[in-house]
Amino acid sequence: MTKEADIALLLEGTYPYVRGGVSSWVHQIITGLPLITFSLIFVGGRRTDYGEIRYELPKNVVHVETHYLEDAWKQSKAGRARAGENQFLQSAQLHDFLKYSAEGKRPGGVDLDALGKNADRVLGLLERPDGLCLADYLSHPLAWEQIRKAHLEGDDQASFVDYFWSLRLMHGPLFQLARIANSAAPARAYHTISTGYAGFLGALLQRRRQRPLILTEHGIYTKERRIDLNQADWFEQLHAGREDASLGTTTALRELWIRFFESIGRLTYRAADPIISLYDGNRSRQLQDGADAQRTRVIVNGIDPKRFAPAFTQRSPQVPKVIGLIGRVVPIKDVKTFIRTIRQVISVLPEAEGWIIGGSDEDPVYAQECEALARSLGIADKLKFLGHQNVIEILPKLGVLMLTSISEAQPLAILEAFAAGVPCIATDVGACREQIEGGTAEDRSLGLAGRVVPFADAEALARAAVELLSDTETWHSCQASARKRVAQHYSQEAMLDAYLKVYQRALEV
Amino acid sequence: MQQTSENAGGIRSWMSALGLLIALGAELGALLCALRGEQAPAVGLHALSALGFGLWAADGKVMSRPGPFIAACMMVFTIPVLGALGVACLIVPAWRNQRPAENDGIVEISLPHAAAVSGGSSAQEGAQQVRIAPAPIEFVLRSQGAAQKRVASVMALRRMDAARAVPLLRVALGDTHEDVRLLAYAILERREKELRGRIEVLLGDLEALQAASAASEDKQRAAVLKALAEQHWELVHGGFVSGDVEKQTLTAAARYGHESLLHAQDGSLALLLGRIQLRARKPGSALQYLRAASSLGVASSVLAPLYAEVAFLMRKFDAIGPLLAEAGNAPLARPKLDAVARFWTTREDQT
Repeated sequence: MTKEADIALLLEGTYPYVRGGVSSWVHQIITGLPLITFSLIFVGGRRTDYGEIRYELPKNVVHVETHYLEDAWKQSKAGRARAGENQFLQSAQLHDFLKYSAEGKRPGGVDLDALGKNADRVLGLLERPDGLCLADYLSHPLAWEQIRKAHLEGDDQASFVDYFWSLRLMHGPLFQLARIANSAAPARAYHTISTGYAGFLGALLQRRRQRPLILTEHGIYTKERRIDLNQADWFEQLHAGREDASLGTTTALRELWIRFFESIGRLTYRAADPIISLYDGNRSRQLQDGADAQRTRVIVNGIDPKRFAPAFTQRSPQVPKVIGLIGRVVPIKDVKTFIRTIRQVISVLPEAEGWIIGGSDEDPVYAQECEALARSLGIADKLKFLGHQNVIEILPKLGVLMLTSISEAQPLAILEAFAAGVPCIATDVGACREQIEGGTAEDRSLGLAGRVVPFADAEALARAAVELLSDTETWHSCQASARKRVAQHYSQEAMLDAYLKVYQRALEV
Repeated sequence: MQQTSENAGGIRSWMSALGLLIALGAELGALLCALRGEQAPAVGLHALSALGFGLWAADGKVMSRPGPFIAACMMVFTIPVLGALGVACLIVPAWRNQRPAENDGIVEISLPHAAAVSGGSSAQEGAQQVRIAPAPIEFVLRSQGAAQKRVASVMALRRMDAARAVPLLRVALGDTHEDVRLLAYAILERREKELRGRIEVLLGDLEALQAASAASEDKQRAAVLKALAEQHWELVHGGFVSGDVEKQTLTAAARYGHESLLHAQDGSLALLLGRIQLRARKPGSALQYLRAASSLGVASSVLAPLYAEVAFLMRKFDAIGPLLAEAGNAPLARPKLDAVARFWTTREDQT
């Protein structure tokens, strides 16, 4: 029998199979709170996208289970439609609840609270004897009727065929998550590190087992899915050569998917308490997306300065003309803008180099595009793709850390660079400005720890890099501010203490 | 009705001439008084002159020749107090005698409209909506209204040609709302990715052809090189690259194009190379390619505006007017160029 953990971490596409900022944070929490036991419930898309476990699991991890959403359909074959009208009525009311709570308005006479309680009941019964199961959704005539009606009432811009299959693709994994919730290892409380599928699983577990659900959002999941969907070209490919292809059709499908992620996010917010974000900007976004203000709070990231002390002492007195990007080679990090920036910097500082420090295996196509761009710009010899590196060893070799991301939360990479005495240049996203320029007046008085520039602006990034790498006095001033800021405002001790209290409160319930 | 309009036009012209006469006379008187040290009459006459200029400027034709108007303004607005009076003298008559739009000589250019405002289930409905809210995309993007409208505008840019869409997408990158910025970024990225993807495929083809050294492959090689030059040019022309990356891309485009030209004579490619060199601000080199294009049969009316651009970069300003005149109606197809052509071809009359 599986041992009951204090906290089950619900992880989508991250720890322990993927390296990156969020994974490092999860590892930090587990190792930093050794008296709490954890189980890991990992949810991924396709098993081929993930290899081996990338971290040495701490001793307080008592259980790991892994699920892939590609299995949603395999497990459904044995199912048989069994639901009655009542279940479909409840399902329709769940969708009404999502619709009205998203729009912020409802027709007269509609009791949103009652609809919300019904939504909780539906989640609790999904894939259970009294609730809907996947077979009902796939083959029941009432399901067909519900889909047909929804299309006519709200999504008639999309072709019905696309609409129908998109809904199937969306709902299949939700039923699978309900089955996972039926059999998941026991835990005294659940902690999901995002909304999305992991968050939905959290909402299901909270409703079924009546255990607390904690939500910590690093980036905002729905926003990141919106970015992915906007960049995805499969919508257009879906319609290639079709006479009914139009901008309206593809736009409607995109919006349908975005609405889907927003809806499951809203259900997660409804079930979670507390709802934690890393900085005020993301907290505002959570409120805008339907989180209850009373439940939201901010806990900033923190790092252990002692761990990075060797990285600082190993630095040579000269500022290396090396600009490093620490992050996965994925579109959200906008590595292409980094490459363009290096091209511009080299024109002014021919001895400069750009290092990309992070895995290229998550999106190999994008990684190839980046390498091709570097070749076409004639800087293949000045730009190095180093893969994963030990940050303690690599940070002393950098003159500047550059983050070109189009979306971030509160990057750990910046805090680590600060602790190692490396000034940063980052795009004006997430909490980067707060980290580099300071949040409060007192924090700002510590001075600038680098430069903040608009995103996707290679010229502005290059100007900032040339300035810092050429002006030793400014560089040292930034370094001093960076070290002071990280020591005063981003301590690991404070972060772990805050999470310990959150866990203790959850475990007392 | 038409006769009334003509009468009104005649009265305006007559008033304008009278205004100019008063202005010049009064200003001359003001100058003489000032030289004699009689300040009060000088100021009064200067004010009268301002009033005269106001009457003169009220006629729409004056505004179509900005040179003398600017000179007059400089004179009238030299003294701050009188300047204010001058402004009043200019604004009040102009406001009272607003010119009908058809007299402007300005051609209305249809601009792309945001999906949010130009949608409609029928053509008639659509036309009506456009008339009510004729907001061009740039206007919507620069407005601080509902973010959803700006999102819809950015969505409408997805299928617009790159040269027009990219500058607007760059405007959207600076939007205050994150969703607008991210959407604009996504569209820019996808479009550039498509171009670079094509370049990668062509480079692969070229590599395969380099391996085969048979003379029969020459035509194919020339075609691939030409396509590479075109795709690199598209990156520049579409506004996807800037700064040093633009220079680098232009160099690559020129290199591929030139190599292609060595394999196969091609007028359109020579023309493209001329444009590439012009963009790189190398007028001498551009001139050579344009001459080659001419000898390969490209029409002189097509080349004339580019020759004019070469002349401009070489500071041979006198050559520009005749060259643009030779271009005939070609500039009319590009409204901005048309304005430039009119300026240069009428320049001699003004000097």
